Amino acid sequence: MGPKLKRFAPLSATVAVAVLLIVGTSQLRAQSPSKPQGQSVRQPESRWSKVSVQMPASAAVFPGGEGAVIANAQCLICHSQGMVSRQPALTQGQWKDTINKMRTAYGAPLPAEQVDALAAYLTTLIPNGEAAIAQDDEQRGPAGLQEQPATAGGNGAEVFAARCAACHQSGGTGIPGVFPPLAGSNWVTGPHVAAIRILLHGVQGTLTVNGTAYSGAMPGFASQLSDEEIAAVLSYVRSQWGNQAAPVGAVQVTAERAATTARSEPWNGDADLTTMK
Amino acid sequence: MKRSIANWTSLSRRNFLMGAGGAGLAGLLGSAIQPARGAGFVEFPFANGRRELVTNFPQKGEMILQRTRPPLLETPFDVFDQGVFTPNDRFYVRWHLAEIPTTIDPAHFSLKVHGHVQQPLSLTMHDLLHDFPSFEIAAVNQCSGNSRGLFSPRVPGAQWDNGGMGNALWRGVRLKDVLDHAGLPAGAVQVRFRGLDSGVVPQTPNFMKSLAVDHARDGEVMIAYAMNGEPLPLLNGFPLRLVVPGWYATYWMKMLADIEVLDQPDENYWTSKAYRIPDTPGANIAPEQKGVKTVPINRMVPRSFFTNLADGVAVRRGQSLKVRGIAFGGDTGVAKVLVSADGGRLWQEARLGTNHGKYSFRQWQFPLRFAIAGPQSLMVRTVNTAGVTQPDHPNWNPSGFMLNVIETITVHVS
Repeated sequence: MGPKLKRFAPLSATVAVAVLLIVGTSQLRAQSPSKPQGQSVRQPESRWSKVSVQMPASAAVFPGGEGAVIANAQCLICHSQGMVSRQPALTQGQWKDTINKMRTAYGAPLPAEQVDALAAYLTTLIPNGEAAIAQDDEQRGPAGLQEQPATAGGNGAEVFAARCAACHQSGGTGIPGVFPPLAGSNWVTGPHVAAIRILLHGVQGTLTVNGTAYSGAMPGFASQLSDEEIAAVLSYVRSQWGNQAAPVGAVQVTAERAATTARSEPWNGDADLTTMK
Repeated sequence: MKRSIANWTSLSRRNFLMGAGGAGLAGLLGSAIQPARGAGFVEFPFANGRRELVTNFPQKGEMILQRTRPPLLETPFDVFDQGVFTPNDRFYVRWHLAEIPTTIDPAHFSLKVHGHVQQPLSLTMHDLLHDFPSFEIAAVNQCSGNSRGLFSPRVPGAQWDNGGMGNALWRGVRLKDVLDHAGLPAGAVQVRFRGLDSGVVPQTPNFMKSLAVDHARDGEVMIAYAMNGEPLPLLNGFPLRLVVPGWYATYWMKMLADIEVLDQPDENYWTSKAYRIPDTPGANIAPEQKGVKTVPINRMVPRSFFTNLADGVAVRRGQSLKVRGIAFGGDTGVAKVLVSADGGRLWQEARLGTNHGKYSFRQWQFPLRFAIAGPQSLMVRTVNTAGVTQPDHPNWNPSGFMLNVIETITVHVS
């Protein structure tokens, strides 16, 4: 960038702007009891240092019934339950409009034939304008600013926090009945082929984890994560929470990416994946 | 607003006595009267309005939880009583899409400028901090749907009370300077902005917003690298955020990483289909109205609030009250703030605080005593420097955008 930007760095102009800002700022300070903290005209570049944070996760799920199965499998892919439970009482027609907006505008993988059942369920969730489900337990576990990247596992831990923890939870426990656990999961600690392919392309339909059937949808990360990142996060989850499987190398991910390059749809749960285990 | 202030003085004594002596701003700084809040939650004044107070979001203090993922956090309203600038750790948060980077290293960050330009750019933080003149402006950032929970009839969406807004001193570089450095050839129509966030499923359209080229080059639209003198919190858009003074926050792209100059109107979902309002004054229509022409949401409208009196507050007859609040003019400055204690028949000017520029919050204060017991209606409204004021009746539209009805609270006088 250097040479092209030279005309924007004439010293006199910079100083003039700086002086103007100092004058303006001091007037503002003199008159205001509520000035913003610590403004300086020349900001030391070191202040824009690396930031690494951990987001809180939501453990809240939709309660009861057939509609809840759909809501847990679909709505929670992209947003936590609190977005729904805090809505006003809406008519079934309003819920259908909202659900269809999620399908058509935002690409929610909700089958059209489930729209009516989900809308009917959601109208029962907030009877008389008050949520029938507790909101107070939406969150679980502390999170906050971490100045340094988390634990051993480095980049894998970062990828996990950013991409996986929202559903599978920071402790790898998943959410019973909704998101399968990674801790102790035979898919995680089994042969790396299935695990890599799940991360690359995602899963939909029924997937059985440690004897429990889950019905949901996990997005693939083939276009969002590099082979190195997929290897790092897989190695991370294969070594956490009591899991003791061997690390996965980027070269193995590259091989699986190449072997499945024609795939554009998520795997169909047990039907597609059991043979890879 | 046409009513004469002269009438006010005599008539107002019936119920509403002005403190004649100029108690200065400093003398009026009493303790804030808290809005309805319990242990760990607040109760908004609409159905299904209980919200948790949480402290576990990174770089944030106590916030009202609207949604964990993607984060939607409201500023507790008493924060607005504490100063004209909203602290970074209390500034509201609103994300559309759940894939938000949680690690950002400015040393490896670059802002791309490309598309219909003479010279594509890839600007580092160093470039922005050193090679462009710095620019600073105080401006209100307000969610298009701020106060949506107060709509009647209710509409779906984030159910904000009034805390989906904040005021900050933004520092960075003018977008005009960056665009002019890239060079805009003839035929540039719009400038489109994209951040680092993305959807969970690949079908979700990337969040992008566009501004007309002339607006983007107006010398006020800017790329902020600092907010109230500090780098932005990650949840407010670290390391760079677009600032569009006077316009709703949907245009203020967070984690700004990509600027594309277009030679034709932007057809992407978020610009062409989302965030549209009825093309009517105040975006106001009747709930049963259909087929109304719509336009992209744009300039903000004026608003004013009480910050130290909550609805339902109890006071004693004759008690000296130090009423204060904030106002902003929307897309231009605050000309005056008017207070009424008689249901809006008579209005009296409040004293305005320091002017931090036409896009900033403006503090106001107004000393008064109630002479008559019973429930009394206390109202505030602002008039901006273009002569635009707030409506008597709430505006309504199906998206829950742009509410700016006159604020009214009930004060119980005993």
